[in-house]
Amino acid sequence: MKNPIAERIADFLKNFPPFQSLAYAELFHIACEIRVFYLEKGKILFQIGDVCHDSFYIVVSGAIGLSVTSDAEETLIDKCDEGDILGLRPFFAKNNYLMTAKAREESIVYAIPLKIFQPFVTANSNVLSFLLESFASNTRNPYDQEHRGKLISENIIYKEQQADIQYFQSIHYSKEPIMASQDAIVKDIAQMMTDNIIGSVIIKNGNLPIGIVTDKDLRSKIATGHFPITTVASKIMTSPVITVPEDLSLAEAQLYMLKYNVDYLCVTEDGSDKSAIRGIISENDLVVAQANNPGVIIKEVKRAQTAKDLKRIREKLTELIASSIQKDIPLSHIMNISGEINTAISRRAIDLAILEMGSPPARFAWLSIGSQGRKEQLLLTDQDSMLVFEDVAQDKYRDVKDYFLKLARRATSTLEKVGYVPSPDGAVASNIIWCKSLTDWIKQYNTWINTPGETTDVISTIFFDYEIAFGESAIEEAITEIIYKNAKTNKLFFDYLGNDALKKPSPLGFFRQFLVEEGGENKDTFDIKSRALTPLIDAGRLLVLSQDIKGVNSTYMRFKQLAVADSRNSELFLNCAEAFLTLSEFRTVEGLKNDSNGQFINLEELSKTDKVKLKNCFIPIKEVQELIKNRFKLTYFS
Amino acid sequence: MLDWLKINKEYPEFWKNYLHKFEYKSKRFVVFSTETSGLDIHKDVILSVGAIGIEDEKIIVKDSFDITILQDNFNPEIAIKHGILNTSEEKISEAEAISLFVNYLGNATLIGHRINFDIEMINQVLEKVQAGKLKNEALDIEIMYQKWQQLPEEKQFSMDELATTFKISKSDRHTASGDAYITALIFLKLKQRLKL
Repeated sequence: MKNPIAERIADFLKNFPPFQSLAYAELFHIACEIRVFYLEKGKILFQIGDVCHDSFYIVVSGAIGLSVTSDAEETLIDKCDEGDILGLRPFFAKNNYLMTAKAREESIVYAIPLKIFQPFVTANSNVLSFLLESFASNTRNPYDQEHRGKLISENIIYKEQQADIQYFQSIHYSKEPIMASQDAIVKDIAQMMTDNIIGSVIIKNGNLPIGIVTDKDLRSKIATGHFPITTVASKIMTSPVITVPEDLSLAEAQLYMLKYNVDYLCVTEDGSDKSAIRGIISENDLVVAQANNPGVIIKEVKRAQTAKDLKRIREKLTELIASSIQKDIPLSHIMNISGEINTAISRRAIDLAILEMGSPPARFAWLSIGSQGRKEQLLLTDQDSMLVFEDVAQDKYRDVKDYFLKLARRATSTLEKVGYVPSPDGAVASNIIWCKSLTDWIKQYNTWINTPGETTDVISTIFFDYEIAFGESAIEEAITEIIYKNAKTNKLFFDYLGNDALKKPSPLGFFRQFLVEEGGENKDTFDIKSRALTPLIDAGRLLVLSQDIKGVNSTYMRFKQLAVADSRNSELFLNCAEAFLTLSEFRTVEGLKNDSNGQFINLEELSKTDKVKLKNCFIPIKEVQELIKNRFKLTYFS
Repeated sequence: MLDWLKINKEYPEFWKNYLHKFEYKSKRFVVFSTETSGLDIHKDVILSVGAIGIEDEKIIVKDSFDITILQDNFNPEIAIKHGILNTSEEKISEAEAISLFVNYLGNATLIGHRINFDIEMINQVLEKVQAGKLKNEALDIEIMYQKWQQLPEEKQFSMDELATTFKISKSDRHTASGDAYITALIFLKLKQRLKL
């Protein structure tokens, strides 16, 4: 009997590699064995860790997104559409899928059984080499011309690529940690650790982690005789244990360990100590660490003695960023890592200043503000900072302020030598107006919020994006509190911020053409910072302030949070988050290429697809501006 | 209802086999479509039958059925519309076709567009060969669509309209197999939407 459906499928297949190299009869034979899947939007075809299927897939219509999960966040690596092949992993490897394939829109895919296809792979060298190439090729960047049209596979080769890229790979850690209850006798615990050749035991209460007993605890608390060997775990355990979410990347795990000065991290279901234990990450798991990775860079920062050392390290960071972008590592990861390193550099600059000047006379906090405060500084751009010291007695005020001004001057000058140009608006801690006591700062914020625009100008908005670089976190919290308390229901303030966000120059002209600079040294270039990034940054800031969302500084995360908080507009906010990353990448690539701050893009150097990609980012900008206009009733002004 | 009356009736062999299959419940669906010489159940005849199986939410390409029937009162005008030319392809007799088809169907749940008509056409042929009526359960994508959209039954949707709604290419329309395949895709989409 004939099979017209199989004929149609064979007709479809013959348009795409590697099927092109097969004869029609062979294709028909394959087509007969195909199963046709329909996937609703959001439906998962296969998931990380799933046992490999007995088929691979070809997309007939719709689009399938391939993503990896890292730091508990899903990151889209690539999108497969008509004719793209996915799920090749079982051809070459026996282990489970390393990516998740999920329908981005409703899709139809053909499942081709491996058993049927295998003979063609072995018999036809074209097919084999095509599959090998697809399997081995790095993921393609959707707007990267070089890789355009090449098939990709979901087996992204983090493993082969070594070095820095592996820091974004999920870590392999023990998913069956050894655990004990809080009443367990220490001697038994020690025996357990010896038997299992491990260095730590998680102490649990029910399913929840409450502490950890490590070699270090046994050494410092038992071996020293402080506690008898018959005591119970709860007496000597280190509590609380630092908990982290599943799918942490290597880099993040390292940062956690450095931050909390621990050798073990307890993995829990949602990353808090209020959810079930899923595993344990030991420093041993990270020993694979190699040079030129974020963890090592941070260690180097901590050891740096001079501005010159720091400058060298900052150059390493630039290299790391450049190679990460080239390897299509998600920009949100790169921003996180680079944010940590930038903060560490600021911290070390302050450290060095204190070492020279002696300990500070009062507690204080050094806050990075602006792009560094949002952890979005990828290029060597301005340094913006502020210094807040605790309130001191009137008679001491002068001396204290003097000390901190000197400290700030030293630190900012170190940072300047590293390559961070001081803010052209003078928004640095060494500026006498941005180095003051907590009370003065509270007054300052009150003025900004309650009488916006009256005494200051636009630069005040950057003071609403801050991240502590050094000192007392309580001071940072006090400032956050004062901002949110004042801002709540303060219509005038939001009017002001809203208008500020809307009055940025528009990216496109009436005919949807790019608006380029008309004169000056940047003539005919596109100002991506003022025309595209700043409007998004402003919108994100305004919206989190008005929604009372605290502690989220980066524009990307702000929009992600907004999407959760405001489900009606979640799609728009997610688009904004994506647009922000894309635009940042354009800027960073430009900046790295020309060793500039990347503000001005030369449109003539962009490919047509890049231009379309860029233009697509303007759609959410326009939409979010409309939303702001309506939500804060700003139509009157604009 | 009056099946007990026929209890002693001697059915053709293929029909007995078919009846046996209903001792088990099936997870298989068969989407099928017939091309007929017209819409009159009594006067018109089946020209071709196309069908495809669905199991576990997947269209199984191998599980397909495609047959063109040799008809004496063949009307070339309709055949041109349906792409069936009398001279082409190997054709088989109606009696042979029906036994092959019933054997293929087994106890599967039937899916089609305005499927009652197709079933009635098949039943007419079955009657000619002294067999009973199809016992399979049947689902109609037009009714499924009305349910999903919560529309009244009088509102009708052609295959073309449904295919357009579900963004399915209509390039295979007007062959029985092509229609069956499009219907199968529409069915999968509706099935998930209705959470069947």
